[in-house]
Amino acid sequence: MVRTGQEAVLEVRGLSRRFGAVLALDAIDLLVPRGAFFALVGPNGAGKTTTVRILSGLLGRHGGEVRLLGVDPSRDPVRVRELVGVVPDFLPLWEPLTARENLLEIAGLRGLPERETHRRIDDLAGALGLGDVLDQPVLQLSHGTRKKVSLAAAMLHAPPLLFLDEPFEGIDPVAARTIRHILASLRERGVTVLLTSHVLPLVETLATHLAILDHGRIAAAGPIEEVLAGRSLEEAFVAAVGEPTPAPDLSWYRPGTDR
Amino acid sequence: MTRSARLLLLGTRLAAARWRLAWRRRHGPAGILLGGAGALLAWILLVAGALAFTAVGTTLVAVLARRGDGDLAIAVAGTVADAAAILSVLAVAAAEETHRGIPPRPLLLLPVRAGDRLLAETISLLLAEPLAAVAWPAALVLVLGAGQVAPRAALLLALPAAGLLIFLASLGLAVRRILLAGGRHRPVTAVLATGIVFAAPAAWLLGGWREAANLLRLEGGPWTPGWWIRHACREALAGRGTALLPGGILLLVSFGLLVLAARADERPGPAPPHARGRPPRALPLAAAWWAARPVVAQWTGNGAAALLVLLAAHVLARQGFPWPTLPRAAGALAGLILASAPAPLLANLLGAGGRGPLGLLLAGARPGRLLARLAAAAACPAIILVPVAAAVAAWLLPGTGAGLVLAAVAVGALGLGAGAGFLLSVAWPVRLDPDLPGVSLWPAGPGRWIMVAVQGLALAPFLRGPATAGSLLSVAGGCIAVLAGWHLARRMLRGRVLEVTESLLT
Repeated sequence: MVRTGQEAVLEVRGLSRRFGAVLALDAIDLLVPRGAFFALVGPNGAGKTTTVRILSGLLGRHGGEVRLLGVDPSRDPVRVRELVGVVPDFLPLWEPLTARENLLEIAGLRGLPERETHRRIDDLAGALGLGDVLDQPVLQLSHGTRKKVSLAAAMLHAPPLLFLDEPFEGIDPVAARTIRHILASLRERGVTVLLTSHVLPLVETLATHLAILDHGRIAAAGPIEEVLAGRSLEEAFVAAVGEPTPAPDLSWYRPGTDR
Repeated sequence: MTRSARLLLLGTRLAAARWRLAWRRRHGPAGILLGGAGALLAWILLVAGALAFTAVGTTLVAVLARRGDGDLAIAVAGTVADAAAILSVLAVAAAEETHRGIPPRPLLLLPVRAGDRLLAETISLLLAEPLAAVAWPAALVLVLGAGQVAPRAALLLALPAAGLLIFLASLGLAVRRILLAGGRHRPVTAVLATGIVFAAPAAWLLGGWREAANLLRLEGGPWTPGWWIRHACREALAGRGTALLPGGILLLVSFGLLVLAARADERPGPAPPHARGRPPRALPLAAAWWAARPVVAQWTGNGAAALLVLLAAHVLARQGFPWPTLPRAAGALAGLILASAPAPLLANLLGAGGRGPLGLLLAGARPGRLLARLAAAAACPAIILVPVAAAVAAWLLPGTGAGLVLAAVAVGALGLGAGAGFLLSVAWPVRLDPDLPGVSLWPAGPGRWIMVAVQGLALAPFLRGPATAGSLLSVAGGCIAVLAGWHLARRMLRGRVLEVTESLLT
């Protein structure tokens, strides 16, 4: 997956995680080279979010090794949080505060100088179309807008590595396009991005590397052109995880016939 | 700026934002004005209290330093300590928002260490309450000023001053949470049991039990914070190690209050069942509450700690240890440990007492609900203020019977509060969640015994009488034990941080 001369910023070997009797991750291996746009796709419950949480230091692992820029997230999660920006599957914001106050507090806790913080907040708000809502409490914002504020929070300290868990979920097409452009420009600047998503067309246009996760195992992984091998991502995805189950008859579904 | 300091500021900003949003939601933009007036009043009370306290502390220092006769200053300091308690309760009642801490989820993604959060939350707990702000100046001036007169006196006064500070902070926390716990309704048995716990001091005030309580009674007057301070000052100036006793007692009571505050659930209760179109559910069995694991654990832990103290005293007495007051002191300590166990019950009663006058603003249309709220609104401040006023009156006006009259009123108010709580619990019963009482403030594992050791060390000088070495040993031992407890807590927290994080996510 990592070509000669390329440096891996993220190395995962034999990563396992259980939730009770359920084996969520079964000894997966990942190598993410510097500057890659690495997409992690898979059906619901495949283990994508669990993987991102473990890599971010939010979850412990039950087996394997993880090195993120040389740091083990379970041993030094604070250092990992300095190196990484994360858009998780939950809302990492303080709801009573405005979007601007949230970004200011997060920047403060990350040790950014105040003047620089204001400049970055204005830039990010402009890029993500947050200008009108920046001074509204987060709890009054829509899900998609909160997601954009979360993305701004993850980018505020200019981390070399971004983990984005379903960043396009609940985002309108215009905003999704904006985010796609932002992510593409980050890739050009050498930022490494690891993203999970179900929006396959977007992944196909952005990703340089791909891993398809199914039932906690890697079904296919590598540079995207190698994984796709001339197919569309949807075709490669279905080939890796299996054909969908045939649609049931549902002959009982006749509107208005039940009392 | 350190991360702990930033977290402190963040907590303040969150509290302000919550307050702003709550008032806007309830009363529209005009509500912010109304709330602002309340906050301004609270702030004025706070500043006035802090200034008065500082002035008294400064007076105390001046008198002690220039005249060498601190009687007058001590008397004034004691009076103002009591006045500050009342003042601060008013300040707390006028301010609606409570200290809720910082929601941890966003912090999970930031480079914030567990130690930073622990420190910030601990400090904010002490700073966020108006009572603590009133107490800080006096506590500091008391210690620093006495240090100018005699270093030894300063050392002896340090514990009472810290005790006063924590006492006032925890009292404020408890009162505020109680005010915000309006609408929470508990089983009748818990209310009655709590009534008994509350009635005991009132009965003591009315007489009859005074002689039995004399084992710790060293001079006249009820045991208000001011009494403890006056006593500590006199003992310290006389060079007696018993000056540490008031601080120890205050710390113990504070601990009970903190447990009470932790148990008083401030989350808003669910909507009344009939408001959701369903008939009210039957009252849950009180027995189920008593059998709930946290309650059983609380009683078991406290009982075991009390037994340990009594056993140790018995063994020492059997071996002829030369401390004649050992059995009495051990009995008192065991009693105090047990006394902190029913704190959840106190929270239940006071939670049923309603949220006070502010609750009236939110009263619904139904006459019964309004009536119950009126009763609760009248009872809640009375429950808190009348006993305090009774204690102050009994001390200020000895022999006039005013204190007894007020104490009788206090008992009446208690009954009214219990009645209001009963009405509310019948009208809007809520099924109890066994885990609702929350997390015990008792440390787990060895920390529990460290806490008992700290309590024992705080009382050690009382056992020894006038013993300077014992006092110093006690303070040093207490500090070591506290540090050991802190270290242990940090270790436990560090070991469990991932587990806690996971519990927040899953």
